[in-house]
Amino acid sequence: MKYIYECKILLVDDSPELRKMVLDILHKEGFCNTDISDCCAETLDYFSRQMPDLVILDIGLPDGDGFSLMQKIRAVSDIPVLFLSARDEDNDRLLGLGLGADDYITKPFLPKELILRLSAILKRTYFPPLRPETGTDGIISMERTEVNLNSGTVLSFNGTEYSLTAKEIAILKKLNENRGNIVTFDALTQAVWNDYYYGYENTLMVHIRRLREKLEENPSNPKWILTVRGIGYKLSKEASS
Amino acid sequence: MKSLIKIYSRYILVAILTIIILFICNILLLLGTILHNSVTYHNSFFYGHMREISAFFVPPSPGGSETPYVSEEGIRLMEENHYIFSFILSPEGDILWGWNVPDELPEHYSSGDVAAFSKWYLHDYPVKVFRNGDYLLVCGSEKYTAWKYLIEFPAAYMHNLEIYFICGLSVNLFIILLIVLSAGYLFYRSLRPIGKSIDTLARGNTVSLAEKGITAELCGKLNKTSLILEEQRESLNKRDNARTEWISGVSHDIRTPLSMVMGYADSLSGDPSLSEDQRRQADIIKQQSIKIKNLITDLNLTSKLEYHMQPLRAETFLPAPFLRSVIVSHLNDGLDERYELSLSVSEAFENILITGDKDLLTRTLNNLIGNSIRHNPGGCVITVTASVLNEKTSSIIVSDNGKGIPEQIIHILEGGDSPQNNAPHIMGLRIAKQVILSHQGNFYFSTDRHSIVMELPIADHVPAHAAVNRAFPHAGT
Repeated sequence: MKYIYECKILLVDDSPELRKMVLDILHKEGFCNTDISDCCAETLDYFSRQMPDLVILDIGLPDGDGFSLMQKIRAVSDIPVLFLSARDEDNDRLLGLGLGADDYITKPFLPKELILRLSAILKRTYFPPLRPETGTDGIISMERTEVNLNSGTVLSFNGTEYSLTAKEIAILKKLNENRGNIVTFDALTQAVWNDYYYGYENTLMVHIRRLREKLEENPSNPKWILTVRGIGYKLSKEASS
Repeated sequence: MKSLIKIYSRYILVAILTIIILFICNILLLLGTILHNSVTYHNSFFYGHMREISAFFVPPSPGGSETPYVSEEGIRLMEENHYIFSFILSPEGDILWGWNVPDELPEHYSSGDVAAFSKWYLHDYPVKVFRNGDYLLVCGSEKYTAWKYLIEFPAAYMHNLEIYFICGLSVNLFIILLIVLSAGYLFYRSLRPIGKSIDTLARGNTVSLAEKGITAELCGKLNKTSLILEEQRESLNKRDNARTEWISGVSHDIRTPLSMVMGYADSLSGDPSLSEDQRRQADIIKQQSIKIKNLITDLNLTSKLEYHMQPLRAETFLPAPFLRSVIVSHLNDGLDERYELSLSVSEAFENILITGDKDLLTRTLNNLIGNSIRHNPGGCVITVTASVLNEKTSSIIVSDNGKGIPEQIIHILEGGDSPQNNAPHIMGLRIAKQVILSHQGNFYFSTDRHSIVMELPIADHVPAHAAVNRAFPHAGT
């Protein structure tokens, strides 16, 4: 299996119209290896003959509910299960996820959402990333300044080289993972100190100031590490004016 | 139960007041009788008159009468004082002078006779005597006009009379108080179960009382009331449940068909073989379907919150990071540049914990921020302010500088009547209010209609020293 599109997907739903629509969506997105079933008995029979790579499961089925069907499937296989149900109760969602389902989508849904979630599950299950790290190569470039997170060094715009402390690296890493987005104080202290923000207000501020001294041309008027007052910091994608 | 004790003490008070009033009345009555006596019978019943009469006693004198007599003025005075006869006795017991002396009376009296009538009666005539030198003046009244008793007490008894009186009075008071208190207590005891049951009923529970004693009828009525209330509650619950379940069922049944509308509209809107107009129309169908989806979700939630059928998935958390994450998701989702969203968290708010359903609270905040955005298409500045009001209450205020919340909406949400035909679409606000209320909080609008104030109870405080201890080891790193 080289691509997720080769995965075999079993769709269990008792409404023929909905089955047809979901199949249309799947086929259009390139998932051509699909099977259908409209009740628990037929599904179990299917499983006795072959294994799909993923099941999309409705909860309200004519001869039983999806939850118990899923438990029976789990007894014979560990394949990912995605619930697609008209039940929007928190209890149902929690029950489904608690039983070990990989996702729970409530109807009505946007086709795009179904495809994105389905692909994510398949990728996670069958194509785990080689490097569990964020996937960046550890280099953050900010126009003339370049940071190498692996070596913990900064090559400054004026040619000076600084080294970063472990905490500074951790902060930069977290900001870089969300580059362009705001990272809350809480997320930063959680990532760096594994603790709540309360009590770290000044500590975090000091670290950010030191980082700016190493990275920014004008640390008191930062262009890259921006403060969002009251909320958090943002590592800008491009120099902000 | 407090009211019963109040009734009891009021009863005791009334009883004591009754005793005091009775006491005063009796004294007044006694004084009145004495006064009446002294006015009505003034003339004949006091010994003083005898002294006045004897002033007109004329003793025998060498130049005048040989025998003593009473002058005319004296006789007039006797008549005025209702005496009907009078005579004067010599030391030997003979009548020396007489006035109207009845025939039945003897002419001579032994000392025994004198002793008897001076104490009692003379042939049933009450008489009074007055000694005048050697002579004895005797005045008699009409028969049966006076009672005479010999009163004689041992001196020691008279001496202790005061103590006897006080003892008697206090024993009386004590017995009266005992009766009043115990009767009151018995009454209180028989009413206590009734008071308790009324309390229970007021708290919305059912009661079942034994129907006996003086309160049997009251207990019976209470039992009946409890039964009626229970039935009403049940039928109300049944109706609410039915309504909520009906809404839940309908929203469930709409979901599958709506999936198809959304699914196909989505695929049509991206179908290159269609004209741009047709794709635009398909996109409108899709957008409107999403609106319907949100509406039925809201409808379902609001009906559940209304009838307390939405279980709160409560957890205790720090609200400050929570607020930051809600706000930041708006900012990171690409807030249109016409809008400005800012958060201000007070220092005290940083270390409090609240207990609540994060999902519902997120939804509430998103609703309010979304409203500010939706209703101010020209852009506005939205501010979320979090602070601590007191030991027990925190406040989160969402405000904007846009056009403000229409008065009509505030009126409806604050319990006013909803005009049937043009009820504004306020499901989001209604849910926000319901969520805050179900967290035992307060939800209200500022008077300038630009802010919504949410007050939530504080569950706990993170001790400050814990935070400092955590922070210091890392301070230098």
